[in-house]
Amino acid sequence: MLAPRDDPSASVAENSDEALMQAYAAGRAAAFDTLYARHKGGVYRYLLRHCGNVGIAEELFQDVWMNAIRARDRYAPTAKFTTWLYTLAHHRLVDHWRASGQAKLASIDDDGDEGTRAIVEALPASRGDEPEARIDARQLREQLHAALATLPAVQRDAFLLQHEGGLSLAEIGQLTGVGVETVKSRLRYAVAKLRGELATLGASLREESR
Amino acid sequence: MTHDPDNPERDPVLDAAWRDLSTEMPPARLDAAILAAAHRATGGVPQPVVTQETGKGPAEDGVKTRAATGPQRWWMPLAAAATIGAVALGILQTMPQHESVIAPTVSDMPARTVEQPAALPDTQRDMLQPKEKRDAASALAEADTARAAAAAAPPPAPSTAGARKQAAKVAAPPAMDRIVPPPASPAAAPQPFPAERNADSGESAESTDMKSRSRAALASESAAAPPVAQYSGVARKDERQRSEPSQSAPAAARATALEKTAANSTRPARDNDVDAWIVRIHKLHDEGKLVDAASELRALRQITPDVDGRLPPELRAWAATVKP
Repeated sequence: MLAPRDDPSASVAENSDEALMQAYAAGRAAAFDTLYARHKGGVYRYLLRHCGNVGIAEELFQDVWMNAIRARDRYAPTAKFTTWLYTLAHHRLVDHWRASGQAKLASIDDDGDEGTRAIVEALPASRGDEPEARIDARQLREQLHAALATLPAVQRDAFLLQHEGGLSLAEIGQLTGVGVETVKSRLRYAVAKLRGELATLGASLREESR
Repeated sequence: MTHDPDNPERDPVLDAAWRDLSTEMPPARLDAAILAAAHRATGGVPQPVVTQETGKGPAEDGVKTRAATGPQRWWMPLAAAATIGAVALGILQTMPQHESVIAPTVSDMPARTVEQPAALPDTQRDMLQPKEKRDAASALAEADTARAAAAAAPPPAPSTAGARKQAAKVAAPPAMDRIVPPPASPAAAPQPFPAERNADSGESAESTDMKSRSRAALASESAAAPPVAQYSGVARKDERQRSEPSQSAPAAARATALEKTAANSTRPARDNDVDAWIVRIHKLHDEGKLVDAASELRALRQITPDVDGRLPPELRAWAATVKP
């Protein structure tokens, strides 16, 4: 499992997230500062990618952290902090969609359509040697975000939980209430779709460069 | 680039692209608000947030974050209030102390009268009722004067136990008799002390009978204006007291005391009266007023049954003819 990108374990490796949360629950406010600095970006992007609206994402983001502050006494050190934190974010997101009449994450078994499946099957096993890194970053970001937005909510949720929260397959399955195989399936479809978008964008850019 | 065999759903290219392209961060105002809330929850002061990606805090990023000064904000009005309170207290302490003027209380309620305790010790009664004590003392002084006048004539030895008791009472009256204030009115009259009541009730029937007879004799004297009454200043005073029903409380107290004294001094007066009565009967007999003399003799017999033995020899034959 990969660590979240905001994890400053290199500088504060002596303090785990769980220890910091326990310290904060015991009254050490400084521990919360470290926790917030580690995970604020991932939680914010998780919410922003789901919502697509900065204002709503900020509102949800603040609610998630406020809930974490209020629920500090109920935090059980047996659970991983990131799992606990992204569970709060996931639930807040579901509540938001329910309140707004949407039910994106309510369809648990939405594993994509046949088009996505075909893209995944057509993708090569490894494309690390291709020059995608040279693609214009701005165009690539926009294309990638657009491709993510077209993903089914459950696939997008699994992808974001893995890439922003650094959760394992089992943790994602625990958080979303599905099995590991289901999580794998969702991730496979999501990755295939995004890689296809990247390949398309790279081909077009190569043609333009000629 | 190799595919992760343990996690085939991850693509290194996609991961690298995602890591490079997805760098959005929450605004600094959200950081400040959330950290302030977190520190308020624990009562601490938040530290500047160091952005992980840039390694700089919000202030360093050019965003002014408002310091979470919650704990610092609340004590300022409290300190101001405490300062004002201290200044006010100091001013009050330095102000001259004025004597508190208590306005007279106007009330519709009647003035509370001092109730006379029924059974207080002598000393307490003396302290509570000085005026009544003075009245009683003056009454006792008068009674003592009358008693001294009555004792001027040597009294005969008491013939009965009750008379002896009366004599002892006159010689050494109990302290209770001296200090008991007379009642202002019969309704408000305090109940007699148990000892006094027992003493009164413990007197022999003979003594009681003697008292009643003495009073009856005095009453008959006043009705017939006998010369005996002129000899007894005590009787005159008693009669005067009884003729003034509308007496004030001290006067009534004095009358009560005098009545007691007179009752105690009836025995010597009675002896003198019997002799004077006999002289009067003798005089009426000599004047030929036998009817009046017989009437007087009958009256005297009611008081002193053995008066026939005390009559002069020249009257005994006549007295034997006077039937009761």
